[in-house]
Amino acid sequence: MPPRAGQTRADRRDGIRRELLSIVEQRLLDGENFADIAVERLAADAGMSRTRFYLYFEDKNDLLRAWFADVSKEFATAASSWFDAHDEITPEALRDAISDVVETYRRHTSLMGALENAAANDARTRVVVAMGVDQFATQLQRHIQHAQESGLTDPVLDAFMIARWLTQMAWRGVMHWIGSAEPGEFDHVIGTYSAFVWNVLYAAQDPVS
Amino acid sequence: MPGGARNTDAVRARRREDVLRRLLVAVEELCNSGISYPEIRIDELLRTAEVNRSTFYTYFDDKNDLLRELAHRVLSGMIDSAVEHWYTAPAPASKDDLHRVLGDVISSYQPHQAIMTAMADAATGSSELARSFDLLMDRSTAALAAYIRRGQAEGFVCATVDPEPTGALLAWMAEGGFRALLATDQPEGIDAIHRGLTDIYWRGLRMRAI
Repeated sequence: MPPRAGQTRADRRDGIRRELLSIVEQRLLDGENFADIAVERLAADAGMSRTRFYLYFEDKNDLLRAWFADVSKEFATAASSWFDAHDEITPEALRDAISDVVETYRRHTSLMGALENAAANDARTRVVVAMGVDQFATQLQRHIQHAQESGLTDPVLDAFMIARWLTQMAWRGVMHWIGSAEPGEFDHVIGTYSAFVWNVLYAAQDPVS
Repeated sequence: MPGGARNTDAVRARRREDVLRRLLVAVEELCNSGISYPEIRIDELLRTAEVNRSTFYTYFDDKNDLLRELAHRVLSGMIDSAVEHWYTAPAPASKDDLHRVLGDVISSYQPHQAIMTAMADAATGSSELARSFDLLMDRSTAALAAYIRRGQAEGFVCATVDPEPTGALLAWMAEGGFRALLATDQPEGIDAIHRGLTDIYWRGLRMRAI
């Protein structure tokens, strides 16, 4: 991959990262563990030297960290029809948005698994993942605050905490099923999560409570 | 000399307990400092616990073997205690009753948060540990699903809530949430976490006082 004119180093790094990760993804699908993939062989498969790899990336986890920043944006985009609905939302619209977020995750199931693994073993990756999850929670928190201002959501709720708990429910709970669930069962999980979120944020409360 | 042999066994068992206790404290200390269990080096662990290398290997095959033991001893007790709160929770006469149950559940988790996190981190790597971890989570899910079903029978949980998947979502939410939120370690923070959790349950399950 010779450098092309007009490309910045960041462009080149992004291009190389995409190429390397598509090789990684194939290996993961073939049943290899991310931890067992050697940089040497990975670089060779992409037609580059080990030295060139380290010119762009600190280590193998660095590939995943850079990738996760992009995926975090994809999550935010998928959730935008929900997060931007400050004045009005229907259970169907909520469910569709949540379904889009989960689909985004599902498109990347094997790399997400590798990321989770890397985060357990590497402090920097752990921080990047925690920050990405928290970023999502912050976006949800802003939505809740706007919805509270417009009267869509009960103003007594602690927007910060509710956003964190609901984000963890999605991140740990919904994702737990991703690898294993049958398609039908999976829709059921999305439906259950959407109904739960609806109850917490938008459903009318029993006046006795 | 049978009496002497028994005595030696007792000494050995006590010694093993002592070593395990010191390793537990050391693991909690290291994990609380921000290192994950897979990252802890064995020599660092032994230095922190003041346990000899040869003593360690007398009792354990490796670091994962130690974690299995800690999980067996500490986490099963913790889950036993946490799920017991759900099985014995009274029908809420007010939202405060639910708040108290959740307070008890948080108190069961909190002291052993570090070991729970260690287990969750190690469970992504080793399939045997992953299975044990899933079993722990399944017990939480079962307890929560049972609580939901009982609530529906007695009329304090909305009938439209699906017990099994909702119980699982709540169990995994707690696992991730306690890990991410309890680490902040401020008394005021814990109260806010606790109140937020009560609202999540109360509204999410559409509960009502009876």
